[in-house]
Amino acid sequence: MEELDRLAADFAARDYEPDGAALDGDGHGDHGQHGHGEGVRRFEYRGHRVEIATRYEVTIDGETWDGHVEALHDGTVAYHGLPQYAVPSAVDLIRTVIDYEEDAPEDLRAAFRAAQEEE
Amino acid sequence: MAVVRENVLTSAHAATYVAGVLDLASRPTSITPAQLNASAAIGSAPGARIFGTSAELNRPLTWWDLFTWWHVLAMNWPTPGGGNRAHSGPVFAPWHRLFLRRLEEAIQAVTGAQDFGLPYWDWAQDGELSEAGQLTGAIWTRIGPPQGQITSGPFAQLRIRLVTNPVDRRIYVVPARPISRTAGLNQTVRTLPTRDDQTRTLNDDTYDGPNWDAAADSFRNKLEGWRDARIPPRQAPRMHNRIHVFIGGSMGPASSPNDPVFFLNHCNVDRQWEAWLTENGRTYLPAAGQGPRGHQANDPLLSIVWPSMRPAQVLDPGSAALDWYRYDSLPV
Repeated sequence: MEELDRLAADFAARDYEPDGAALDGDGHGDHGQHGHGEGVRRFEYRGHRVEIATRYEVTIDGETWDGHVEALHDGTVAYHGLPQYAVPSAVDLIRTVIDYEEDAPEDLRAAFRAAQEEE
Repeated sequence: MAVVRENVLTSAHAATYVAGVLDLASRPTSITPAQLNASAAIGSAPGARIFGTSAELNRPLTWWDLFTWWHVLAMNWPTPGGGNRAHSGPVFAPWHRLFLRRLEEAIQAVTGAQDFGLPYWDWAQDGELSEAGQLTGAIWTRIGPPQGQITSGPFAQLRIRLVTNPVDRRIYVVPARPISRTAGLNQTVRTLPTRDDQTRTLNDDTYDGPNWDAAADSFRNKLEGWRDARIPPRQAPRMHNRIHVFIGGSMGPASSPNDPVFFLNHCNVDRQWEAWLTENGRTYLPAAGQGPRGHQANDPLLSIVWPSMRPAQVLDPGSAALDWYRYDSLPV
């Protein structure tokens, strides 16, 4: 237990900086992120370099939904918020997101709302 | 001393696992979400900020919470070209190996059981049961019921506070609550992976390759459970991913380490990687200078609290250099 306490104290002394965030030659931790809803698939085929940029703009009930939808090489789509899914289309993805919203326990949704109201 | 990791259904360490998890989940650290949010390093990190009411933000996290936050941090930290610092690319296997080892050491510390080895759930064996049998098998006596709020069984007293909301991808600190599961209720994933799925994965002798992502035709990608490039599209999640979706509830979003079954699943995934390493040699791809940054053999594995390591350093957990663990049996 003393070892765990010491590790926590050391982490605090480092101002909670993650170890290994920076990559050699990068220096500040490459976040490498495209804009929300954007993704670029890059590949080489028969000596040609190809880039396919995809951008999704999603609204739910008229409100912009800014989750990062990523098109994979085989055309399926993934989203960090649902980390184990690669579904055939953005339609399937958004249906799953809405399922999570609708099926979440009411007390958990209330906790999310309380946090958002204090922002 | 290298410990032995055994099947959770028969291992004497299963009870130590329960005791260790409950201890870590009730043991406060000296760290609050408000302190993390105030950190310059965390303030600039993607998806690291924790949202909550001021009362919850100023309450210390437990050690169990810290493991959950570590996983969320790595998952929200994208790497160039897709994927992140722990998933959807080659680093999936070594990052989780380090993550599990740190939990194993933490449980050894709080229980005093220096011979404790994380147990694994051999879910490919349970995948041979009938669909109905998969919801009544022996595993549920070890982890609690398959559906609903988990307020009975070994983890009835477990309470968690960090929850990722899949709708806005934020991580929230909420009043302490039980974990939940929805096993068998997902219409797309009603069953576990099978022994054939496992064999198919182990038979791929390429650890990983271009494009090093969720569509790669490789052992790592089959193990992680994205697309299998050799069978038709429109696949449901497979292997590791399938366990998360099959269990559902707390196992769904990025905060999935909240559910203790997360570590039983990943211990089996690590066991499958260990079987592959034993069969194919202790190699890793991409080598330094190749493939996407954050996934290369000498790139650091994103860590909190504990020092980072590199994929090339964790390829032989039973070596004299690491002296971490071995498995009682490996799948073939």
